[in-house]
Amino acid sequence: MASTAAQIHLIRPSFAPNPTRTTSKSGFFGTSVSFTTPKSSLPRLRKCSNRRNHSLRVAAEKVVGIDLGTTNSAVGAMEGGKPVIVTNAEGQRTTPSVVAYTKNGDRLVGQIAKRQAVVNPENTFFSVKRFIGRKMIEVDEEAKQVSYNVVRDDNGNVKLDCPAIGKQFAAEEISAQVLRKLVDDASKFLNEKVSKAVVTVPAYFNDSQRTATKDAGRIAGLEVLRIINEPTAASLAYGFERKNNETILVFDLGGGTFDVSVLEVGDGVFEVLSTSGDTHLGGDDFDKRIVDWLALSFKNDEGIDLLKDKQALQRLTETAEKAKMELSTLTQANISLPFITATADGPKHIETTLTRAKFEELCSDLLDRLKTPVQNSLRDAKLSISDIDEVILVGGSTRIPAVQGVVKSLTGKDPNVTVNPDEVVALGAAVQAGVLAGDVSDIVLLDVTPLSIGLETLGGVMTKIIPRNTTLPTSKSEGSGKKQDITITGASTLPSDEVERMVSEAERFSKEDKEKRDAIDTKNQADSVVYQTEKQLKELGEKVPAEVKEKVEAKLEELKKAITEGVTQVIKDTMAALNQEVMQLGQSLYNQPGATPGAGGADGPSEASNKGPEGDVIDADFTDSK
Amino acid sequence: MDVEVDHYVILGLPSGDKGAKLSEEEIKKAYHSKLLVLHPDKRPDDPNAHHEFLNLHASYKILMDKNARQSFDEEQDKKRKRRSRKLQQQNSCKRRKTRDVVE
Repeated sequence: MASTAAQIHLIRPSFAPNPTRTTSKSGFFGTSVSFTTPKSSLPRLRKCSNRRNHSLRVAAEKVVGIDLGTTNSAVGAMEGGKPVIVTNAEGQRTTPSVVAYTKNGDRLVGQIAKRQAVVNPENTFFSVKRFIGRKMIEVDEEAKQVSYNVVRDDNGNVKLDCPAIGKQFAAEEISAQVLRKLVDDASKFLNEKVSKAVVTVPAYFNDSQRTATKDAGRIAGLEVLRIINEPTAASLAYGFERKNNETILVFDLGGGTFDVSVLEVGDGVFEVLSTSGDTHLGGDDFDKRIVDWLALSFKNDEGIDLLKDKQALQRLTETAEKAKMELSTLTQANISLPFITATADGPKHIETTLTRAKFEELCSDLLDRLKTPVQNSLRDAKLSISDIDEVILVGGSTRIPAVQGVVKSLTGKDPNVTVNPDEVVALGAAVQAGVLAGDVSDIVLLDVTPLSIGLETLGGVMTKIIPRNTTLPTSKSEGSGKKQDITITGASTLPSDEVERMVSEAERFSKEDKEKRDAIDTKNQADSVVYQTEKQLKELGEKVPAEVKEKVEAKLEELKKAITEGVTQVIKDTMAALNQEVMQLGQSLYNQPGATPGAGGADGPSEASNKGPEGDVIDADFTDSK
Repeated sequence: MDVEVDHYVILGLPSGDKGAKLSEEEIKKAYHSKLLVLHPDKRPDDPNAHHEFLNLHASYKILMDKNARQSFDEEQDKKRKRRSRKLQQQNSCKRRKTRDVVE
């Protein structure tokens, strides 16, 4: 089973230096400042005194929680005893789960990959989660809905074709690249090394999908301490600071999957009573209905099938998603797609309006499909709707008014709106990460994986039915378990040697990536230094002693030469040498009679370069002093 | 072999007649407080963690299952009666007597 190995990774050095206790306390006063090792939650400090083994744990590094979504991903971490969202390098709280390869082989991940999808549809990989750990025969329908080519490999597994670099990727490899970016960004944000994570998956993911997700983590160089279910994670975030005993229903409609879980939350124990769902239902499907509607009316009017044109399809999909989102707040959305295609008569455009009512009509069967999993999960938990205290909405698609309408009519309740549906899963994953790191002590999770016969606790234990004295398996493992047990095979996951190959390949690429980035950064920095230095020399003119000027100019020429030659290390060295000379220059100005302190010495080019090309600092200083 | 397990004791509850009278709510509470200590996530360094946790969980499931609990209670009751009869007959064996008061 996927998480059997989890325990091993949790072993911590068994000494407890007391100072860590002190630092963790200080975390409460300056949450954003404290980047020191272990941050404890308030409950832990309260409780650990009476449990010895807790004080033995020393969190060596931050464990993050990752919501690896079909369309978007998010990262959470425990900061000052609370789960918070980690923003990415672009400053966003979620990252599109999109990877692209450009024509010249550059790899793009996240927002920049998504942005260029229209012009590069065959090499832009999105919704990869629909393919991870799946056999080709299971995903025929999904394969038709994406703009890249999904192919079958010799084992019947799914591969994603990337013509730009002439390679076929496993879905694991694409997901690994998303994970890599998430973790790199997180470690920048947290100013801490991040190599361990709790990753969430839909509750309805089967064993091979879970294993494949774990493999994606490994390929990304990430140790996945635990895979937890998305609705369960949502409940952790929701119940984290609540003390009441409650029975909650989590309704999670994401980009590609639909999960319902019923949980009992009380005394810090989060127990999943039942879970149900639909693996082929999500926000993407709602988009698809709009796409099909647009394409059909275009075909009727113009006789052209836009679905066959990958670029047009990509534009239709993006516009459809936008329209769907608009219809969550507006009652109608304008759709404008100029130059969607061209015929002998000239360019063709789409210009139309979609009303909310029409949208709901287009999606009525999808909305109907939301009902059965809710009913099944209640039945499996042996509860009726009146037993449910709160309904928690998770996933961006729960913003669709018609979806909320279905929830309301099914449960007779106004759903709880205190959690952000896009962030709650990552926050919950961060809570579990905190539990595993020993930062959160008064919470435990009991979960079931509905797809295996038996019960997997989140302690990574897998047991075939309850041992001794044989009561029958409980409703939760029985109710939803029986129809799936046929499909459980490890065969749709990658062979371990292939994973190993991918791991080392990813490492090599990441090294090359870093070198490439370093080369670009260094060159840009050097250009800036050259510019700044020349500007200074010109501005200072006669004030610079001739012999100092000569030395600076000599180093300047060396740097220019190094830039054209393009060897990163040489550029760095010559740049450092030039900086030295410029410092001397500053010093000589400072020592001149009549010069003022602060005129030159403080403004070496390295600092000036940070101020951008308009760094008129020196002029200003001189004026000031006169 | 397994007959010797007292599910009430595993959950830190009084066994025998007292145990049989406990409400499901009380059993659940006891289970929860044991969980916060015994869950494998709480003691990653303990090799017995999984095993003990599974025992705890199994005992809890039995006590929360009306039929299973009833037959367990009856079994215990019978055993107790048989034992006290034996005790009267043999008028010895103090060891037995303390068995119900473990913990």
